[in-house]
Amino acid sequence: MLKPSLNAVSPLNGYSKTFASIKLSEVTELAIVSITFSLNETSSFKEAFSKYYGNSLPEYGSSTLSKDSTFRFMSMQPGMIFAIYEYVGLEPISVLTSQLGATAFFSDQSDSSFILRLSGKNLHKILERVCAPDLSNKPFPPNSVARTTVDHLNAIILHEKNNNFLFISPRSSARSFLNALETSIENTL
Amino acid sequence: MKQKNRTSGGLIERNKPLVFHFNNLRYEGFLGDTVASALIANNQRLVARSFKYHRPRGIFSAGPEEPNALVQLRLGAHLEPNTRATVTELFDGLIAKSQNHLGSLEFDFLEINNLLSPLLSAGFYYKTFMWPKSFWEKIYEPIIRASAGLGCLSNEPDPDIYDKGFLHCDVLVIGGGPAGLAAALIAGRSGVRTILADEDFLIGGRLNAETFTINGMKGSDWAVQTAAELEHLPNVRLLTRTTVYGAFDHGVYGAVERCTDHLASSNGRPRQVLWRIYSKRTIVSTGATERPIAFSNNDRPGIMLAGSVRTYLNRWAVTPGKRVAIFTNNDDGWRTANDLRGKDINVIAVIDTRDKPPPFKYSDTKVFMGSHILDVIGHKGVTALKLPHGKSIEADCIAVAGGWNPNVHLTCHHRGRPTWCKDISAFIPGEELPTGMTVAGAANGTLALSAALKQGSDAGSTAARDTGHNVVAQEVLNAEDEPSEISPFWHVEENKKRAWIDMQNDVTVQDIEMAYMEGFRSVEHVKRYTTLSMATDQGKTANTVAVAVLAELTGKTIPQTGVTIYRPPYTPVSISALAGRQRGNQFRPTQLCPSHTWATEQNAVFVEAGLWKRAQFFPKKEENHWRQSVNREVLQTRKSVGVCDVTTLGKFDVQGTDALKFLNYIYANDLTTLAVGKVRYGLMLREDGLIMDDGTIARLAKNHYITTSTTANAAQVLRHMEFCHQCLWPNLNVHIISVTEQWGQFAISGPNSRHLLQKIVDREIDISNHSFPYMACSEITICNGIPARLFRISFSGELGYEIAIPARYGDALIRRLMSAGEEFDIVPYGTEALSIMRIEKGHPAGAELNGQTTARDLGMQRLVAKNKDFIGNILSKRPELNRKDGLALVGFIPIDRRDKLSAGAHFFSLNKDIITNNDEGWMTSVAISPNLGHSIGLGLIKRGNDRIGETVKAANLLQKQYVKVEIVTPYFIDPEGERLRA
Repeated sequence: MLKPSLNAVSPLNGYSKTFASIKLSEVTELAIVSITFSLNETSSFKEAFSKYYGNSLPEYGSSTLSKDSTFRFMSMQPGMIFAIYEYVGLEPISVLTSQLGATAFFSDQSDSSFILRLSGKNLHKILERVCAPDLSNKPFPPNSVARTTVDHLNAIILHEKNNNFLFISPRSSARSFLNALETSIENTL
Repeated sequence: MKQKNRTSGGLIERNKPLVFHFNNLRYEGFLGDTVASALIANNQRLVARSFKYHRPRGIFSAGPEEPNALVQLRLGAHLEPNTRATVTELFDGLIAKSQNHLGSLEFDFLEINNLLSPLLSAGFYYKTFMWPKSFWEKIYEPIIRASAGLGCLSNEPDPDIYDKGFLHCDVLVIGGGPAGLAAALIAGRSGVRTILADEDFLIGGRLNAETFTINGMKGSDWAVQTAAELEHLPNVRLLTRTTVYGAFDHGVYGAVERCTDHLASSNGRPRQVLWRIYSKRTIVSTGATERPIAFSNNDRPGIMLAGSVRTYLNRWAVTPGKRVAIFTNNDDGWRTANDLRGKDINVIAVIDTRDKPPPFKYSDTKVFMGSHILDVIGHKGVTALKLPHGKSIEADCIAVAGGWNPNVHLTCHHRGRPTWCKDISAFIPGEELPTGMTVAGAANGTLALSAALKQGSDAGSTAARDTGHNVVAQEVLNAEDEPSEISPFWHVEENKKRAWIDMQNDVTVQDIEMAYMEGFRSVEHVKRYTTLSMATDQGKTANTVAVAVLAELTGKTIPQTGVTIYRPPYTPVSISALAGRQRGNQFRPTQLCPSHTWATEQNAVFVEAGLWKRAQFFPKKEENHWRQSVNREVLQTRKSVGVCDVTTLGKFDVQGTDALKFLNYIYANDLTTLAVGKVRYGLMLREDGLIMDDGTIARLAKNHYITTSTTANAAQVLRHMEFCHQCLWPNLNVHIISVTEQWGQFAISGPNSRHLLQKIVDREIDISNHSFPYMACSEITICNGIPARLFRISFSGELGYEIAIPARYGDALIRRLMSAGEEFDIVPYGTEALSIMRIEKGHPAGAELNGQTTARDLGMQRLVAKNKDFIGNILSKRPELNRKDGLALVGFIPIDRRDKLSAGAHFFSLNKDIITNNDEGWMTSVAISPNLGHSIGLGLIKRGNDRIGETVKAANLLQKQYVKVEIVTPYFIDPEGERLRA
């Protein structure tokens, strides 16, 4: 098969910058797929989910990893989860349909959003300039996920692991969002 | 002699001298001073001129309640007017200037207003300057306006940066005085997530101003020790220089932290941070503010609040005078006398309004019990005071103690009314407080120290328990309970001269009396008529005195008279802090299309479509007017092929076994006949039957649809769809998600559009007219396997397609299309050309879908299904929306082809006057058609379809242009649609 003849461009062109001990970088190799299942037919979906990923569905406001840590599933709203996983290719949905089959509906969201990773120590001083939800460890431990706004921009925030946060926000406003995060970092250094 | 009023002690850092300038004169102070304390140290008594009468004024208080000492700080773009000198921290190189005088502070020409005071009393603008009538607008009002207001702006953009942030806690303690510290201490020790905020730069509140002891330690030292312990607790956050200015809903408080105001330069750091604090419980321990007693000429420089005199003495080691008289109606005034005498300051007299034995006996101080001050002598500074029976005493400072008002402001922000407490003759917080709020200490009317500490501890314990923590044992804090007996005395009744109540707005006892005489009874009306408490100090020192005076006049009690309540902000908040980062380019976010980078390289001119930046047109070097570029784009597209980025339109992925049923509910069209691989134009109605939005519905698979909306309504449509799904039909198996951003989408239009597409779609895809007819859609691949979606739809009226591709390939695709299209002389076109083409084709857009029109108005009644129910169905059948003489969308051309049509012009029959009754409709969209060579328009006119060929007049009443127009078909180009179906 011939190689695709168009080059993909990430919204922030692979941005990466270090501010003292804080690192902010664009994550480009993750697929995001929306998985929705009917509230009346969750049992078959749960069964398939558990079978393939060795875990149960995440609770609202949190995420779970598949047993092999390949997939992370974020609960977004009743009946909808987002799957995030490393993927390089043209058909991210195909990975999931092969496992979950007809138990759900899928929508590729990999290009709807861009992803920024914020990592480092003492991130709380930056995070409190970013958005309203309380992102400190106690109410927002690792694996927590929240939908919120950052400077009027929609954002999904994932507490990936200690001292690491992922920000997922609409692609078209990537530059504005980056500016918001950079400003938060610079204002607290 | 420098700093001749400086005394020993204080909480200043004498090893850090500072130099500052006031009115271009050099002065010295120390780190820890405020501008006010440093001015007092240097014996600068005159600091301002009053708002209306331009009377000489001095420093009156020591805190945020200051009504007089408003100064202008800094220079150039950093200039800031109306800053209270009493809370402005001194720094090296500070430049301050007085305000509100014509000429110098010493010789203000506008002091003539004082002589004209009979003409300028409260509400004068309702009564004077009435004749002659013509003078008001041209002479009186401009002069009054010019002399009104305080301070002036730099008129330059603020060069500092500001930020905002969000804080969360279990308990927010507002005020770091004794009660607040006690509350924060127990909460902090109990593991409660606590924030303690104080507006001062030195935590401790009145502990820093008094000679109290706590557990045998100086009060100020106990404050330092407590603050140090709190700072070391990981669950406690101390915010000094932070004013909590408002109590908002749901336990949210607004606060401004002044990060660099006390420094000569911000050095790139945010100057202020506006915090939203979310707390489960709040303890308001904001203390109390002293109030004066009103007597003749009580506004002279040198007359101050007695508690403030103590503050200057004890905290800042300055004395406002060398011969100080005390005028008091309560025990607290005597404390000032004692503290001054303790520092060997000459207390020349104590005048106590209470007729009882004096609490202290002094050998070298005259004591007058049951007496009062009649008047003062001195113009730019008090020099003597007059007592009854002709007695006169020389004094350079009068410390007035009229009682203490608990700072109830935050408790009123949810419209709670304070209640009257007879014991302290003051208003205290009422029963209705914002949810989760308690009040402790002086703010609650508990003025004595020991009681305030206990109340603070209790409040902290309760808050800790309420938030689910185990409370540690309360520490016993031994302190005095100072005497605080008061006998209400509000003003001297024998006032022969004006007696001030509200210093900042120049409102006197006489103004209140006059308002009463003129029929104002309600405290709300008196406030607004006299402007009492309406200055930036919110009447902190004036409100209660005024209410008392009004009560006397009306014969009611103070509780019966009532009090006005306070609103945020507690103290002024700069607009810059409220704006935060939202300035300039960061005022709002920007959304960029996938082709933006490429378009920028083409020197495209962009237009804002909501938050999106869309290419408006693509000028070439040789073109020097936008219409040249736009005409070229239109003509070339219609002649060959053009490409336009249409990513911004809303796109929604709708899937599920009930997707069709759902879409049939929300669209007016019957979609049951929409086959897989087909796309249909759709109308979405509101419940009232008018059009909400239009778009397309494409069926990609049996249970998979893609719907589109206009750019402007994308969010509204998605919200509507979610509402319908979640609230109206929650049991339908349908799933909706926005894919507006997921897919970059390009319109390819023109006779050569198919040829161009054939160069990029993969070989196995057949897009011939036969296999891919008009209104077909399909999932395809392009450029060696890249997934895409193709829709044969056209907004331009030409043979056209829209191709959607994952947004990451958008940039590459536009470049590929332009490269592949070179042989066809492809042209990129922007929103201007898009608009012209759709008007030429008669397609309605935003101007026609403005929320006032129906499907019938736009000639789309055949699209509306008759055999199903859908949102808007019932009300769209209302007779008034279906009148035979109703509006219809038609085309318009000028009779004289040289005339230009105006959008918004209204239509009138030729023989009818241009009045509302004769209005027959309006022009919705206009363009100068490069294909036709003249102006064209779309518009709505009564019975439009029956009047083709008729001439009417289009009246543009704003520009007073009247153009004769002919009613024509709205399809200026290819009315039969042959190009679309080619």
